[in-house]
Amino acid sequence: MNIIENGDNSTSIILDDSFDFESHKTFRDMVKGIISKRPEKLIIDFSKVEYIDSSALGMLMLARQEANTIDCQMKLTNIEEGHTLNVLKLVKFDTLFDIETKA
Amino acid sequence: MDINHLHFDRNIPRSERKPFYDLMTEGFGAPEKSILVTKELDKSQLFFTPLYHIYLIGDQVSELIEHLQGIKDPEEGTILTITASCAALYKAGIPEHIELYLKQQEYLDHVHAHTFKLALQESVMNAIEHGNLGLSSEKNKFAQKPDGLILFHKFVEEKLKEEEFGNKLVTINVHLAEGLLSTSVEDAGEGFDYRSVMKSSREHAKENSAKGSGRGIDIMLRSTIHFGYDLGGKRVKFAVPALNRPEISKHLRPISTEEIKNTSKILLVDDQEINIIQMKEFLIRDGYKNIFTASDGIEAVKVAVNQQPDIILMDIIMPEMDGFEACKRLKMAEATSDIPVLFLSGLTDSGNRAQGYTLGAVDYINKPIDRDEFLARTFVHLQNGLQRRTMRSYSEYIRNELQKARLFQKSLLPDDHQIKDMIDTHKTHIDMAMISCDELAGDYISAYEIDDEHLAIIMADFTGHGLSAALHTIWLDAILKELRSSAYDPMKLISDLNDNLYNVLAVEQFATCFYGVLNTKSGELKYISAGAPEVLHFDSKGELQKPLQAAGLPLGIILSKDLGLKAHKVTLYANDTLMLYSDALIETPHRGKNMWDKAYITSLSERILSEEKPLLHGIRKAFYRSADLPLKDDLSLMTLEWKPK
Repeated sequence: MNIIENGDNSTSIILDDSFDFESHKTFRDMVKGIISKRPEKLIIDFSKVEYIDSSALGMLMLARQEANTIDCQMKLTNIEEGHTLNVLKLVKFDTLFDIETKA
Repeated sequence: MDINHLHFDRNIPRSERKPFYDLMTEGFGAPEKSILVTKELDKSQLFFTPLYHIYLIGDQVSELIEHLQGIKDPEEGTILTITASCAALYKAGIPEHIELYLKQQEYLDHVHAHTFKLALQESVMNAIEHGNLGLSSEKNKFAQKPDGLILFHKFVEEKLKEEEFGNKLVTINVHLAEGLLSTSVEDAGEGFDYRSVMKSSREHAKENSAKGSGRGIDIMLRSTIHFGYDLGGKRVKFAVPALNRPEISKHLRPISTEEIKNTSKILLVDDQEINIIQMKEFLIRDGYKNIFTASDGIEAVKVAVNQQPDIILMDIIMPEMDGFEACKRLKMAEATSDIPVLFLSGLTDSGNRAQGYTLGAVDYINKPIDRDEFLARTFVHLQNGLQRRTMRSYSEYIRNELQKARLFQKSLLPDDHQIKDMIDTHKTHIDMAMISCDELAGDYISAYEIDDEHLAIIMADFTGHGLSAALHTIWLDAILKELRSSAYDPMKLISDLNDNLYNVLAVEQFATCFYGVLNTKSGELKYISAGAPEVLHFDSKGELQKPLQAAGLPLGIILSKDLGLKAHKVTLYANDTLMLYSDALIETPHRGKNMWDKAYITSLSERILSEEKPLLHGIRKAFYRSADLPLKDDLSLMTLEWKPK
């Protein structure tokens, strides 16, 4: 997982190929770190992601909560149409998050 | 008991003090340090710590608890004891206050705090209604009527206004020991035949019907630990795990140098007395206390078995039995195989050293002995050994705990008897399987009878897995039991369940859930899905039917009023089959790459059904044949076949 500061006061987290239970601590710490710098936008980049599980959904909720506390916009980008998008749609996360699929 | 420590509020007239003197002479709820008896609570009186036993006559229990919140608490022992009249308790909502207090003091985590509150409420209400007021039979009578419980509560309120009843006392004690918050609630009633009630409750639980007075007990039995009565039914006790379990920290605390030297047993083996004297001298001067000696291999083995030393320092060449042979025997016997052996050796020959290591020795100390080297090696190996043992006992402890939890979790599934009942009464064949990726599952599946015409099926999957997710499933089971009265109405049940979970779960935790109610006479299935994987519906020929609606926000994220829940309906025909599965079925890679998609699962299911084989069994077998193990997430499966004719 990597953090990229985009310059326009937005920060991206580039997720690894597998966004699951094992990413929990790293992701949590990254989000906390980013939010403490109060960016205007938090982008979760799914371009490498091939697999997500239910803990990933929990982590997104956590990030959303953190972002809400500082009024930071959150966006999920580069989601591949297939497994990941299906999972997000099944749990209606498209109603909670700004979601952008892969171009 | 030291009577000097009794503090009476000046406002309490002499006549009202008598019951307290009586209580004390009878030894009722023996206080630990001091007693405050008060009617109008004056906070300046509360220079006490929570260790004090507080008798409260007035109705200001809640203020009392608020005050306690500023006080630093004990790590073990009684946290608080409160005795109050039942009229005061009934009004003050004391279980919530105590829960809040324990949560703020970090005695309880969120999940257990909620369980604790419910259990305490249940216990206090029992103490008042059944104990002090003796209204068991009235309650049952009221319960038969519509709105009976509301009327009953009004009846209780009236009764409490009568002094004779309202002034009767109830004592709540919360005690922390061995990682558990043990709570007792004692009333001043006559007691009751708790053995028969416990028994009937267990039977209720088995039949999965939650009627009558056993219901509360059933929830307590399932959600708390060590639940039970004593004092002839006058006192009810239960426990929940405390947040910081001292048992765990005890296993993992660091061990000081001093402690190692004070407690370690060292066995010195040498046939030359002068060497023994020298080594003993080094060790004692360095602070070691427990030193044993032997002068040959045979004696060494004997002493090792009897004394169980933490380390053996042994010469190689000795009469009777040499060091190598002794080491071999020590390593072969179970009682001594774990004790580290260090050889004292004047031989520098590498072949000899290799032989020692092969036999299981951990190190060599050169002869003639250099004091610093000798002490350093001895200490390092003692420390390693201790750490190994600490880790082993800790993992043993965790393993046992997990095993217990797993058995408990298994007990939540319907048993064979209930499954058979559903076949007999409802002509519905239900089959389920749960395979957890850790020791414990974060999935919950169940099926139960609502009444003669209705069955409920549920599958829920909590975020994450392992211990915390598993705790949530147990919690879910308790809530479902509590919501049994709305079981036939998916909208109401899921709304209530959602709000309950919303209050209890942390923000990153939630559950996908499918809940359905099948009318086993008509075949109509009413259901709600909250983000659970699609339920597959096959007809009697094994052909896939229109899928059930699946999309929806999971439970516990937002309140029900904003959730936009929608109940759906589908009608089953004779010999139709439903299959429910958790997402591990579609998210587990097979042979390192492909996951099963819906099309594959459908064709596999159709094939199994067309061969008239049990669907669940067939799916599970095929899954195991190619799935990459260990699983990354829990897998749950449930099939339901409706065979009305």
